[in-house]
Amino acid sequence: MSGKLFSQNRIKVVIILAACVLLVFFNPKGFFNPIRGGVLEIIYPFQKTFYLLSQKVRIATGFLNSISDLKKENEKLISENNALSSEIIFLKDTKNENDSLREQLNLIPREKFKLEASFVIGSDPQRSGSWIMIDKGNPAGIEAGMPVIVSEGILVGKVAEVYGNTAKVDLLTNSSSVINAVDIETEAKGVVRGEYGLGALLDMVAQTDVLNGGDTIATSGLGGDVPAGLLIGKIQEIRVTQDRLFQQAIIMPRVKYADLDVVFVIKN
Amino acid sequence: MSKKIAIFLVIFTAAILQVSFFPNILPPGIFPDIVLIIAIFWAARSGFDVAWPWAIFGGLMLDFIYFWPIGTNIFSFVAIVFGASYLAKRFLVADNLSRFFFLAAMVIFGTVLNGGLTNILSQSALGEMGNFRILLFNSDLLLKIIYNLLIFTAIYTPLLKLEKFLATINIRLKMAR
Repeated sequence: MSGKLFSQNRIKVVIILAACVLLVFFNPKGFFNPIRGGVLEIIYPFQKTFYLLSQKVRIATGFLNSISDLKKENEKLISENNALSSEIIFLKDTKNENDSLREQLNLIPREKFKLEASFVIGSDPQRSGSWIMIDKGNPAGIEAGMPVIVSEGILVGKVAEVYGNTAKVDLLTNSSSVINAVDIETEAKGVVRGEYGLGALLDMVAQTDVLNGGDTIATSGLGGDVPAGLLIGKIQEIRVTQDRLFQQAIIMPRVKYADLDVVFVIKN
Repeated sequence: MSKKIAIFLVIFTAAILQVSFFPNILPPGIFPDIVLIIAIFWAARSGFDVAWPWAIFGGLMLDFIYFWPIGTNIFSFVAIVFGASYLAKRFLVADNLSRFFFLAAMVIFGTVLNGGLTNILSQSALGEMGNFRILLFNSDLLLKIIYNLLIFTAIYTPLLKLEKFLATINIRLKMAR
């Protein structure tokens, strides 16, 4: 009896596993999106509550950990404060210069972006650099393809899928992410591609263009969906493609994606 | 019915905790697999016949929330639950301590298998086969096993109590009928 039952279970398992393989490899893209949207809608309040709770836990544990370092941190802050005071004067001058350069290049002033602030309420469980989930969706006017930045005008990715109260944002390091970019210092143009959630690569840069280690890479605005002038990162390493037609550069993103809490979706 | 609702709520809460609570307080990518631990617990204690629908439900929840191709976590959970119930039938003994260590071993085995299966399925479905080595063999797996064992130790007694409580309710309902 037990053997028979076990063989019945074995048949059941084989059928379920086969159905799963078929679903994984042959399900049409987006086929389950309406159901997924419904599920995300139901779990949204719970997800947000747990996320906010975890943030409080993180802040509390961070505070406890920092107590022992308070004296050292205080000394560090005083010296940093002195350095920052002198830097403010320098930055005021740079801001004026930046405003005038943005005007010359016809870039939208950053303060004129129509931004939608949103909390990050989930991320790729396997790799922190693949995608994040934000707590704004259709009702907030979020649409697929909209760029997502952090407060300093640093591009982190683009909206990929939008649901009732949530949206999935593919980060720059996602393998499906492709953004037109430019080297601010040398004006070399190329595309920034994601590398399996592990990093980003500036690709398709002509051999005649110049790339230098440490150069700043920003969006070029080509293609129209991402405005020009959003920072992407700095060049870490330069290499030549195997066919020697193009140059490539490994980009060090400006933000640590694992630490993202609040992001802004550019709606215009 | 009440038992089913209770298990549904436990798995639902575990899935939300796994997705929204732990990733924020633990290093990226090293969150505990609470849903998997619960599925293994139920499979070893109640058998495959009872546990497989819950393995499908838990897997489906995670597939939806993680934006993975539907079937990825279900495949892994059903395979692990089957393996756990098969081994439990042969090796699980009544002694409390041995039972705990047997289930802990199942959690370690399940963590490794789940990591491998979900990676292979989700990445090959997305056409990112070249990245397997990095995803499968890294130090994160060891940390994940440790976190899973810690969580298993923390929820083992509450799960036993819940099981006992649900069994009592079931008996009372039968007697009332």
